[in-house]
Amino acid sequence: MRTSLPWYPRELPPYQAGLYTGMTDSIAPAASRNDRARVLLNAYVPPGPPGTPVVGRPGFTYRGLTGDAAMGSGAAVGQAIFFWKTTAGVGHLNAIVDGIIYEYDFATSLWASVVTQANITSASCILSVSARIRTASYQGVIIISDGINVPFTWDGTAGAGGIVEGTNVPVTYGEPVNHYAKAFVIKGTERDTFAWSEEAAFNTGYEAGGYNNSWTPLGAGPFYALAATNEALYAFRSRGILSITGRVNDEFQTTGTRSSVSESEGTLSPVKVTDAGIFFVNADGQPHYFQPGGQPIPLWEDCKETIKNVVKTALPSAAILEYTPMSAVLIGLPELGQTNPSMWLVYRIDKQSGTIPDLVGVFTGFLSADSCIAENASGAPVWFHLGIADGFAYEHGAPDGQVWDDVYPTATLAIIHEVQGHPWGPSMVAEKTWDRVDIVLSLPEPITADSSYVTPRGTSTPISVGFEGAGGTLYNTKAYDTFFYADDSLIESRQTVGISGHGRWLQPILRHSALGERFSFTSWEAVALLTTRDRTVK
Amino acid sequence: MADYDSADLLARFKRYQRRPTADEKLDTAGVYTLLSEAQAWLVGEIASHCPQMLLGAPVVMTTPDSGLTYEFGDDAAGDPIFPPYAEVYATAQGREMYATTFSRGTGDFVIEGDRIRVPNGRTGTATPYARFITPATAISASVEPIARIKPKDARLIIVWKALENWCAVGGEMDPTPFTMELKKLWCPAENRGTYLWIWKRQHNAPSHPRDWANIRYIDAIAASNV
Repeated sequence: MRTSLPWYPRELPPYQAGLYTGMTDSIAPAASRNDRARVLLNAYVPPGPPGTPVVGRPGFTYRGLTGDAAMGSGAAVGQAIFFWKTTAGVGHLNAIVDGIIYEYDFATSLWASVVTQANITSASCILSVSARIRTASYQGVIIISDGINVPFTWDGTAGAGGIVEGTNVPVTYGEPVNHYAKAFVIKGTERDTFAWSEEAAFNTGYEAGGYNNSWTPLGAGPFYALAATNEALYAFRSRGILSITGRVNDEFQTTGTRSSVSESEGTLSPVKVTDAGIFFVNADGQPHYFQPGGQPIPLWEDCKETIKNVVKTALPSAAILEYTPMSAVLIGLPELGQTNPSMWLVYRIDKQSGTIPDLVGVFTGFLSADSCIAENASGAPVWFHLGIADGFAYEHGAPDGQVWDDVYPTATLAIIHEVQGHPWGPSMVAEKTWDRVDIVLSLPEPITADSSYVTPRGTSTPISVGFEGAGGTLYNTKAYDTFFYADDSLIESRQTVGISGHGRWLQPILRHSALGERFSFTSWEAVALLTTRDRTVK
Repeated sequence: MADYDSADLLARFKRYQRRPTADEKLDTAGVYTLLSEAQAWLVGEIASHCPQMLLGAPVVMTTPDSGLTYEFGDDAAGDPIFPPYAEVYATAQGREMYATTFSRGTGDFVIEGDRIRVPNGRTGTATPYARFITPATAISASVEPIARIKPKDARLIIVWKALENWCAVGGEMDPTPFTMELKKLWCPAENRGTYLWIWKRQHNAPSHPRDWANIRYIDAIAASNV
């Protein structure tokens, strides 16, 4: 009688993933992808050629102030932060906290109050000390509107002298826009009507002084946002977008050509016009964009799970920024329990012409009452956000900078970076024994991260793994499981993690959170053993 | 860490195992468990083939029942020791005692595993002595391998056996490479320089009555060469 030889589990070809192009958060193992991460938390794919490693987001630092103590007092209400330029090209980074306008000095990294409530009152204007304030740059001044009182303009002069009340301007809703050198506003008391000024004359026009510069498109319903491009003015309802083309003149109401961009998608939030298109968040909290002349394209399919807890009633606080150092549009959304953006979706927009913006990461860890992209003294874009309860403004570090923690007045917090891959080896049948995971990072300094995984049988206990950085030694001088490559520019560190997972698939997770440590991720690979003799089972 | 102490065996296990430093599959406690199991196996093997390597001076036996039975002492758990090999003597100087059946009673004691019993339900008149092999206790960071396993490098047998056993965990790996290394050190038929043979032949002299025939054979060879 023949006796069968002993047999042992068969090692399957390694499962590899990495060099991610972005993230797609689908949870179905059968839809897994090796070129997309499932989660890139506080990490993103930066601009660069294919194969560019994922990197952690920069941190931010609170900025103090001189003069009035309302800002940063710990309980002040952050109402707005905005950057604008005068006609002479002088940039101003301003914040409004407790109804006071502050100016930021990049040289000293300090804020100073420049327009007080008393100044505003002496200019015969009223500015709420708590309401969310919308602003818009217009013809060398900034329009400031609290949505309760009539807007006013400010030319950047300290004190009351630079303020001009918009006596002929209606109370407005949302951000005014500049179209054909005219200021367009949504009337706060008649939300289905928008009105506009005369050219380069903010306080002239509208429905005052004999002007009839307003339009109530038939059956339009309340508007929530306006956007203007060279091609058209776009008016956003909650569930529809109207496009109006044509020169804005006395007959605009009759000569303007109306057409519908969408009869189903609209917004409750501010919108953002960029060179890549017009970005908006629909009334369900789902990001979209469209090109002038085109139809809205959904951008939410890669983040369906991530945005499922967006608070729809808080969508008016959503924010959209264009941040060129990351070649990205950042879309801030309020998550469950929040009334201000707590999560930022990062969409790369620098890819080939015609390519849909690509979700390359998600940033969390801070709440922002408002945010903006400013230019520092060197003209470099800098991301700022305004705290919700402390009134502090926070300056984000540059992607190639030195700030890798979130620095608050009371504490410095390590950023939580997390990369989750898609499940490897999904199978309806084959149970595998998962033996090891090899992780390759690109690091300038050593870090320690936690490796874990999820299988159909549960989540593993994280294993702490140390990775060598630039301070390490060269390839082939390390222990068995710590190969290491180094030269003057590229540092690649590999670690092997022994695991004991069982299940039809395995989803890898790498989590890092340590003060002062930069994070970067390249790729990973897993080895699984298959306990069956059937070689058709994979 | 000294050569072949518990920490050294742990390090050698991990080195030969070639597993990552960070490993969910086996932690240090798990390795010590495997080393302990391998040591227990080796003690059993030695007891079967060359028990003299683990024997020491006679120790007095104890009785829990006023002389009906005599035990070899208790283990760490308080249970009677089961020696894999034992020699029983009537006195500390060594008059040998011989086993018998309970009813026949022509010998000195009845074998009961972890104790001996006086035949015919009688009680002993004198406390016997025993030379025996104590089962191995678990190796750990604070408990060293059995010191009498010598030379010390013979403790590599424990490491290779532990690695062979490790392959059996979950039936996940072919143990052949480790088994081959184990055999090289322990008892392959074709290799007589291994520890089984070294221990059997260490003194080329009678260490046990059953070896006397071998010695007489060796003496005969020597005589023929005169």
